[in-house]
Amino acid sequence: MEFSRRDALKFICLSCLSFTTFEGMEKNAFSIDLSNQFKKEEEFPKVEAKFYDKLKDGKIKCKICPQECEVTPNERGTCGTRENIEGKYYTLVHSRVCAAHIDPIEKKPLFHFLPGTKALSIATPGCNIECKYCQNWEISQFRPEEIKCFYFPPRSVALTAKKYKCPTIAYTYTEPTIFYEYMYDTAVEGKRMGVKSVMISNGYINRDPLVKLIPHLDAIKIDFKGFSEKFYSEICRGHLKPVLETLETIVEKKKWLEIVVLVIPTLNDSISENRNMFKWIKTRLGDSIPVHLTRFYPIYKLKNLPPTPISTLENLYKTAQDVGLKFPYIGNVPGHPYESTYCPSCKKILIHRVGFEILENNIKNNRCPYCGEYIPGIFK
Amino acid sequence: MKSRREFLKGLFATPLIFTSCLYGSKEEFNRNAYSEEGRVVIVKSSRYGRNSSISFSKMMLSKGIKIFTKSENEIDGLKKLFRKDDVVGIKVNTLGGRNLSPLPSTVYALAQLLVEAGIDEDNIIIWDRSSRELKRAGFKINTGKGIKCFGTNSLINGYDSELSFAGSVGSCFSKIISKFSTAIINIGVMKDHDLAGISGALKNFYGAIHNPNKYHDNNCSPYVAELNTHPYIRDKLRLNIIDAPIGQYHGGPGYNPNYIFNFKGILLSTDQVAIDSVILDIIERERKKNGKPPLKEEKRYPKYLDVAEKLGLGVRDLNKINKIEVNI
Ligand code: SF4
Repeated sequence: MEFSRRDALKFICLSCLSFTTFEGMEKNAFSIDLSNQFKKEEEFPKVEAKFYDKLKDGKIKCKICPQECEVTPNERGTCGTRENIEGKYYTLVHSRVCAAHIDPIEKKPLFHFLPGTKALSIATPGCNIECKYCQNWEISQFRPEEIKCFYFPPRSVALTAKKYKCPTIAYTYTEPTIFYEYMYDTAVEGKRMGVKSVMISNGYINRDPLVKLIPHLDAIKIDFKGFSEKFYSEICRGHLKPVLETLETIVEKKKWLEIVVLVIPTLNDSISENRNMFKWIKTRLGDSIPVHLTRFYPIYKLKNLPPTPISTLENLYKTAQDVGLKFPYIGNVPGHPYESTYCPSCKKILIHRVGFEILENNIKNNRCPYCGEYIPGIFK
Repeated sequence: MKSRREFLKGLFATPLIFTSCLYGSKEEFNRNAYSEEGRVVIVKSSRYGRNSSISFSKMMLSKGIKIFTKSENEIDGLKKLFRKDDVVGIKVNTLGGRNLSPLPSTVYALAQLLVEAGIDEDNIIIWDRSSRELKRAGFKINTGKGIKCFGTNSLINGYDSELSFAGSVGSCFSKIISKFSTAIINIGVMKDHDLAGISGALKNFYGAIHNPNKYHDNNCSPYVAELNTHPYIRDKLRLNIIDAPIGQYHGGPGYNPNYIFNFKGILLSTDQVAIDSVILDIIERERKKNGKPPLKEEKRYPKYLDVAEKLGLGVRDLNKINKIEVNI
């Protein structure tokens, strides 16, 4: 059987920058074998989409995400995963996974959510924006029929999570907003079976679907791509405002939130822009939101830039602390001391991490064992 | 490096059969192929429609090719456009289903003419983005011997694994255009497009890349124009045909019976901008006749046509286009 790099990529996590070959994955006890679930294109279910309006002449308006695509019959929206079939809108990616893997929860990254546990991580093809530096573009920027997919319905996902002793299902790698219905149904099924759900997202989702989804999720990680409209429109084909609204909604609904900022040399690495971002996070979301400052590596349409210097990340880490954020982290730099969690009060190490490994976890009942400081998060 | 046979074996369960193939060889395009800027031939017949036979379509095409290439006959005309050893990819636009796609009878008639002009039938591929859409439009999928017909998605890894860039467009191209074909015929239809304004010749190549959905903002401009400057298209494109037994002046790109008009014709040109300018004019007239505002008023004017002209892809000004219309 021939496997391409794209096939192999199905098994790659967003923050894992080394490629794993399929042959390698076959030996990996944590990869999920779905080969008996392979379906032909026409056999995948077409499920009617949620959140759309019917317009004149068979046109529809999708209201899942801020793109708000108006789609004529036989056409698809920007994400390429939803199709107007005779005036009704359908998701083509329900139960249609292109990646399924068991990852450490730290890989998402979620650092204040069940540290040291595993997450059954799934994705379907597609994304509603296009970041020029997408690490997973070979699955996020293709249409579902262009990628080999497997049938993995919600109940099977939840059962598989239980089988592999994963307390959590993560909707990740691509953009889960575009497989909203599948994520929603899986989260409901998971909850019924006692499995948690986390959404790893770009935050490009409309308020209404988000509010309806939040009760079924246990944590959300948002990629906050930059603090300027220019960055969002020129580098990501999106807009900043909807992401800010999403972040505020998550906090308003009291759902556990962590933020990732991928720092790209010359594009979003200025101290002043990031200081403004950190200030905004502190005043609008609170000072206890973990903010992961992660290292960029050249890929996709941004191959002309170098990896982020570690000193840039360290300067931003200090800026975040100066602004008053209690839990900044440095990511994609395995072994860096700022991967670990420190008590914001007594500065002692609470969770010692190396890469995705937890070497020690001293947090007891959400408290620092040394000074009693409250440490926010879901640790049990 | 993989041998040609190894490569072809990897694409389908059974290997594709070509008697010549570009893959792995140096680019060998027919750069001296006949082409003429700003010239569009329209062949019309009151009998041309969905039920036309292959022989009738052949007659229409023959007339058009002969006139367009200023040749004694259609075979001589095709010989000016193609070499005997070309692998000819015929890119059809089948998004509109059975009612608003190029007629299979016309496409197969063209394939037959190519064979008569000396091209091996094994070296002709009728293709689009997906086999599902081709089937829906009435084409018969064939990946075996003879004239082939299949969508990019029927190939294992049908798109290039590396991105290619053309202006602001960065995409993976279908291997049918990048690796198999040495010459391309572009067969679109005459229709309105809710985002791009119109979808004719230039827009048809959105079906050759993996991520067309990402290039629909700003009326698909400058993306449509820039995409067509890519060497896979620019160096290989030999002929544009708009197959228009009918046209659709509104509600596209999908078929909408409320906005259909009869045209009963086929347009031919080597100039994508000129042929699209002509169909834009026809569509605008039909819109006016039917009480619809100009596309500009609906903020759907296909700006990409102006960009395409600036990029040297052809003639936009109707006054400078030499439009030749014949009736059968
Ligand atoms: S989910 Fe897809 S179709 Fe819906 S608005 Fe977003 S990009 Fe458009």
